[in-house]
Amino acid sequence: MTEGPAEPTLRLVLKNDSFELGRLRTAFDDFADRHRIPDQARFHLQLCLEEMVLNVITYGFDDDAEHEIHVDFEVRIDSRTVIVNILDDGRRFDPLTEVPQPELDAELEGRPVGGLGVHFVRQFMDEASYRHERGKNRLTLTKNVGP
Amino acid sequence: MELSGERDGDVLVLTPEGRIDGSNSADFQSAVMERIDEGSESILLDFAGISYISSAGLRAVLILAKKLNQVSGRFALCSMQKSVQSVFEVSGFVKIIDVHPGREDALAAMR
Repeated sequence: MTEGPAEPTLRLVLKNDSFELGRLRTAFDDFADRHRIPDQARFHLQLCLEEMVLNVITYGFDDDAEHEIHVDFEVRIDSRTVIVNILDDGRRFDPLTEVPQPELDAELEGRPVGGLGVHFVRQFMDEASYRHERGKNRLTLTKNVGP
Repeated sequence: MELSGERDGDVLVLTPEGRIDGSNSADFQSAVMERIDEGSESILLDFAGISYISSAGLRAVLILAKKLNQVSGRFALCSMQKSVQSVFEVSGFVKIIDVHPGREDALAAMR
């Protein structure tokens, strides 16, 4: 039996617990290996993904209950584009418009440390969009991964 | 986290390995802070072995830089991998922290 082409999609369901980031990393690594995503694009995707999922885990829920966070990966083979959707049922929140730009020019002593995760998304992804649909936050990240 | 170090004159060169992210940035920060508390006022972080850093890792680096600034110490980074360097660049950290391409450049600048 020969191995078919790598599955172009991967769906992952995470709990709202930061320990789940390990599982996210392993699953993404495996997905990136199978699709031969180049190192730099892979690094930036992983960074943005982890930052955004950790934000949801840390700030997204007003109760102490267990929640599911769905992370869907898709590779569009023709255009060599990776699309990642992050869905959660937490508080309605659009990180792309509600997180202020970090003060990148502040001197060392006055330099605040927040807001960098969303800044990475703006800098390293080719597209990012947010929608609130059927009671869920949906953040979509798109990255072109080369030839 | 792995954090070995060696002295080069007055400079303590630390070589962390692997990733600095939300799961270990506090450990990394306190391991370096311990060296500062023991009296090391010139610290060079050689990042050749760091393959990944997140905003939590940057926060730790910033806190260390501020701490050494407050005690009039010296702090620099060197030998970053390309992807790690890109994170420092878009964060504007290269403007507030001394970053050098290699260890020798860094040591020369810190002497």
